[in-house]
Amino acid sequence: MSVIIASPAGGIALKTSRRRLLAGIFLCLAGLGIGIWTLASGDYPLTFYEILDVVRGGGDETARMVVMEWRLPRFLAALVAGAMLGLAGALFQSVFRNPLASPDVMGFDAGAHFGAVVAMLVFGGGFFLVAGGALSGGAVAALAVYLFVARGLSGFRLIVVGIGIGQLFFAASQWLLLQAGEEAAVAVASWGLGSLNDMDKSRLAYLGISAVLLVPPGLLLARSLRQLELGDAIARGTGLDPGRTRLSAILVGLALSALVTALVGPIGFIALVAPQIARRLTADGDVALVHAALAGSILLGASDLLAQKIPSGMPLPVGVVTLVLGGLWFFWLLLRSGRVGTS
Amino acid sequence: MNYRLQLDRVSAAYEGVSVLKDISLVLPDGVFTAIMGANGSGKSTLLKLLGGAVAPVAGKILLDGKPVSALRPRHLARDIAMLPQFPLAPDGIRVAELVMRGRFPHQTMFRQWSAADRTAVDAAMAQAGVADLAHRLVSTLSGGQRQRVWIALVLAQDTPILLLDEPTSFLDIAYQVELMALLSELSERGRTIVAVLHDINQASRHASHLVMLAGGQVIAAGRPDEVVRAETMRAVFRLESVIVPDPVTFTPMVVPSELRRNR
Repeated sequence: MSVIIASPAGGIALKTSRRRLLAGIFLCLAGLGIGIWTLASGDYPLTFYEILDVVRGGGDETARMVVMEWRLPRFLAALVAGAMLGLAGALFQSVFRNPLASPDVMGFDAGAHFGAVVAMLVFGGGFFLVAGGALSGGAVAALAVYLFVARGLSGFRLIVVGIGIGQLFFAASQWLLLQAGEEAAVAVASWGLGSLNDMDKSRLAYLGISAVLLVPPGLLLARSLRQLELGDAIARGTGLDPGRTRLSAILVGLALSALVTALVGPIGFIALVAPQIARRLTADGDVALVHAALAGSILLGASDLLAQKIPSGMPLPVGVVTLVLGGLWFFWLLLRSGRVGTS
Repeated sequence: MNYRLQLDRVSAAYEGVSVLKDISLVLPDGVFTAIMGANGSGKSTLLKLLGGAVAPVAGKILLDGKPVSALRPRHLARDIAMLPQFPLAPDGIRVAELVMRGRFPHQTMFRQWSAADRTAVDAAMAQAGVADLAHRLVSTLSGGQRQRVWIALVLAQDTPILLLDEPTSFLDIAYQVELMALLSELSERGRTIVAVLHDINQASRHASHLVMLAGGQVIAAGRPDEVVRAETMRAVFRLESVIVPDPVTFTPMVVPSELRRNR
């Protein structure tokens, strides 16, 4: 059932559907629930009303510090980074017309990780150097994959090539870490698992600025990607420049995932699964960028909550949790396709 | 004879191999033109040149006297619609939504829907005979139904010129006849139709202008009775044939006179 949202004069008219709106509301409510749970639970438990007081500007000093200094920045970072990853995955999956073509599977994240490691160990780090390193590393990995695409590689073989390139970068990063001094290697290694444990306000600010710069242009690509999914010939025939759309989507997607890698560390699975969940929820054959971003936020928020809940000797990096969830997701997909295959 | 679309001494190559050599041709307005020729004679390339999807290595493709390469894709798409041989339908899409995507060149980022879009989509679905399939999933349709949905998409684009690459392949004979009738009806209502076709007898019946390609050049162009002759068939297809009048329409009909032959 189509829903048209229009200005009275008709100058603005956006088209959506009831199912899309409901799915969006459902995702937002789920995010809100995870948010309240994240803010309330921990070594210093708070009630819903205590959190409400703090958010309104009241509450006692300890509660204020727990919420505003520790739990909220961390949860916001999970939301923002998750949205960036979900959107990046949706852009790549649409451009490559392949539900497995996300930056973590295709090796782009491993490239960004390698670039960031080089920036940290060789050039000493700092946000702009690490971000620059991650962006260049991701771009090199993407270029390598692209050279195979240009030779006509597609579908499953493309994914295998992406995985191979990712492994090469991963090995190179490990080698660099082995060469580095122990102290530097330990610092880099804990980032290298993807963690929100020591998220502070300055990193959150960088994350927020990256999102503000990249998420709107990414979302605005929806209209062009929708057309591109009909094949290059129809896309061009209806007035789109397929090459330009593809390049824009790849560049924005790369920047989104590389900056998350630079600021939080490599986090697998979110960029892969969030867009798949979004498409399942909307189920209308259209790209679902907003829903993918929302699903990414929720997945990373929930994974980080899980990371805090699992008892372990040290604070668990969220990247470890998402990797485990990713493995389970693949397992489920395999079981399901196996059942389809035998029935 | 009026024309908006014209090729002026055009040569084209595909992956370095010359496909079309120094072709000059006009596509008459409001006429159903069929482009025919042997496999690999450059029919599809000619159509892609007209749609601006392929750039010529020499010469110009002109729309109203201006090179199509100089037009912005969006503006070109309001004059020329193109149905390729293998368009892709996304999973889970329904007929009306797919047809609506033909309205892309008439929409903007902030005006993604208008009453004119609705009217054009409804009219296109009615013309292509898919109005009663509007809410069906495209993936559940038969090949013939699907092809008519794609026709509806390019009709919804509402362009004066329509290019179609082998639109009747994969259709059974009844759907083929229906589609050819639709195309000639559209041209009678003023649209310029250019279609790559294989069946010469069908083309003679329904199209009023035929273009025969061979070896990257135009061998013959004109009305069916001017073009469909035994010597043209010999030159284009290296086929010996007898031309007889079609028993129903009296248009020329090709009957091959060899039963066995060596090419």
